[in-house]
Amino acid sequence: MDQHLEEIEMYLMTGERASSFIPATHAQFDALEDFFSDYLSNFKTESDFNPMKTFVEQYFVQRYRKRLFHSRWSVRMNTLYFIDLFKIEMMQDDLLRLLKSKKCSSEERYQIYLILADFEYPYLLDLIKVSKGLPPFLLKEMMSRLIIPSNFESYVQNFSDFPYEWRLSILDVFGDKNLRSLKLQELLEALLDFNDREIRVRAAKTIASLEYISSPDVIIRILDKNFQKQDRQNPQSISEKMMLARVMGSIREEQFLPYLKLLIRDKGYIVRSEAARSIRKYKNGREILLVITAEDQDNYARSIAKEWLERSMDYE
Amino acid sequence: MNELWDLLPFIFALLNHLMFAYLLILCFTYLSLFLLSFNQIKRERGLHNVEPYKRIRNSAFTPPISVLVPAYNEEMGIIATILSLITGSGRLNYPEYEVIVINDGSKDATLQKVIERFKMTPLKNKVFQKRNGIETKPIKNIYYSEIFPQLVLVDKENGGKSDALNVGINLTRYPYFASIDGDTILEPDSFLKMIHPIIEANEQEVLAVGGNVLIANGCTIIQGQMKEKRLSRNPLVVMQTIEYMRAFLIGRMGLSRKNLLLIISGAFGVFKTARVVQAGGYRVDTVGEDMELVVRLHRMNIENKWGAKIEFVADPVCYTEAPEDLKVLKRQRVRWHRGLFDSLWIHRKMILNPKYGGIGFISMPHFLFVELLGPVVEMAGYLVIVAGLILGKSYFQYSLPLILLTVVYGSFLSMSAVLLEEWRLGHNKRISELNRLFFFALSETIWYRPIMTFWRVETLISVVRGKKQSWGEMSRKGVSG
Repeated sequence: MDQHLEEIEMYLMTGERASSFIPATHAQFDALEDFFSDYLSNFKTESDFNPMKTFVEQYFVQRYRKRLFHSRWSVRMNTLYFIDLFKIEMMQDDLLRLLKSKKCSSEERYQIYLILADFEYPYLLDLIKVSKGLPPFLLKEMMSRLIIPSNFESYVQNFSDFPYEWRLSILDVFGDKNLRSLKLQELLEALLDFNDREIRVRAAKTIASLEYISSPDVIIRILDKNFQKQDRQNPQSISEKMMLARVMGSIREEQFLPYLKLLIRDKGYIVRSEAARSIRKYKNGREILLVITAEDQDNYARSIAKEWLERSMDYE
Repeated sequence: MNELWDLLPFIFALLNHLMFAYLLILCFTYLSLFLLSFNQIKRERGLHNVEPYKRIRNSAFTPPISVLVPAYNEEMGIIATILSLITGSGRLNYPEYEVIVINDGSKDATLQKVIERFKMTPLKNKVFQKRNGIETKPIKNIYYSEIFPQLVLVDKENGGKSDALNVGINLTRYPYFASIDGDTILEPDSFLKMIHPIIEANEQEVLAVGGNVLIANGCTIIQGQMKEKRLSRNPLVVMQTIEYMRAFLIGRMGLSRKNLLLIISGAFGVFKTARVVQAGGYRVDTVGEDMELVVRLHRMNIENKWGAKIEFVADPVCYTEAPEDLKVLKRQRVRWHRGLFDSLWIHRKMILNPKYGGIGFISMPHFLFVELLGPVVEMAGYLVIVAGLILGKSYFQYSLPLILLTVVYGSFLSMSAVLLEEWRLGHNKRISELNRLFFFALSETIWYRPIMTFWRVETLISVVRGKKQSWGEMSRKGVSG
């Protein structure tokens, strides 16, 4: 391998003289795969000039076609990982064939879905709908591949048509990718009042990470309703309050402060802690916390305010 | 007197038959577990080392992990352990995590060393929460590092390992936590490998993951990183290496395939925080806290119909130092056997209880009859063999099959474990090392096993006696609590 290193690097830069390092043995294939894999994690390849793609398509595909239907599970999995890595779109039909085959395990199935998501395979959603679905982490990963800035509006538009688990993932992906639009904002704010608690929490989380709300009243309305219900014992309602406290810290409107001062007395530790942290983020946050430590009649509030006064923001 | 003498051959024969039946059942169980593991190993063998874990390393959705490191008088190793977790190339190959070191009232300079090396500053007004009412010994102080924001140090009054871990659980901010021993050496990608079954391979909820622990003695470790893997020359360590391999193959891998795994090594395990909190954390009144927690999680899983699993990762994920002399080894084994007894005693209701399915009918009885009481049977076996040899020819026909069976089965299992490990992990070992492993695997029945058997029987006797004595005390505790 070492002796070919220069030739390979030369090829990746110029696209010339591939013939000098065509792999023949298994070991050579393995070494090249690993080299390319390292290369891909260290350098970004340009889309219009990609000699690696040409090389892989010419010399690897044949091997992958065979190995995709190998009797050993680990060989098939490895092949899928490399098809994913090199984005070999010309193997889409082979993947669909493996998906239908009896020996396709659930791990292979997940992997194929993710690859197809990258290939923008149009019938992917139908494929998954008839199967048992994916673990939440992989569902998010897949959604993250599917949803891109140029198409996310369609996911906003059709949000309610997706299965429940998908909606949760889609909300997380919106936040992670920092996607913004008027329609999305409307959707998120409407979901804060949705009848499912988990959806509400995820929507709040996304709003907190986007750090934007059309009007503070949207949050205040929800909070007023919450305080009226007095449903404090329910542990999931704690996570919702915590998330709303976070939203108020990330958006920082003066009107939120009275509510944060209420939440800092909450029975739930994570709610108090988040409320204190949010207050701390306000311009005059330190002063407010100081007042709380000195004057608040609630023991909980005083001690958590003290903690956050001492804490440096770096630790969070 | 004469009558009794006449009866002796009969008793002797009966004992022999019983022993023989016991051994046959044992062989059968071991063989089936062995085959189960073999299938799994065959499936996963050759899986790429890096590619499967890249996604977890790069994803924004990988759940963060809290690493809990309880430390009691660890001034020698604690800095290297922490360094191996947070810095340099030994840094955990994991996107987001925090390291919580819990100084369990050390009498040496553990606390001072950590404070100085990592510039730890105290947070005087920290509010501590007792999650789900998990009580611990008082916390003296909590420190945050000025250099590494993800490093937290807790100083508390001494309360034992479980108590220290519970402090960590109360402080954990993340959905999963890993518990590791102060002297555990981790592979850099071990957290990626441990989280993999939790988030990628299962549609079912995963409560906990155990990993394959190897022995570090003889290896070269620099700054908390494994540099060269070698087999120790100490016969006791070689025997323990074989033991670990076999336990991995039979006790862990095979059982975990059917969600029957009862032991996750205290050296390294990953747990789902919310469930452990729900279960009330670690029990402080047992030396077998690691096994007890896993049994309890299984129990709650069945009783509350969580439909969750406990997984095992076959790849080697960490290294631990094995005792090098008999005294320390004995102390360790006595503790293990006591812990085993405690876990079975606390959850005795589950044994052969149809409500608990495979756990109640396979795992628990396996640990009761094979692991806990097996040594008693074995001891009787040794006595029968010796008696047979002394009493002469006519008894020898009884003893011989027993001898053969024990030797053959013990050695066969050990050697297959060695071979399978070598086959699975590729050519890691030198021929001389393999020879050493084989030689000791063959010799096990003559010296190592009898020693272990003796210690375990001894422990069992003292535990049962102790239990009788402390009965009154225990019931009083129950009333006042």
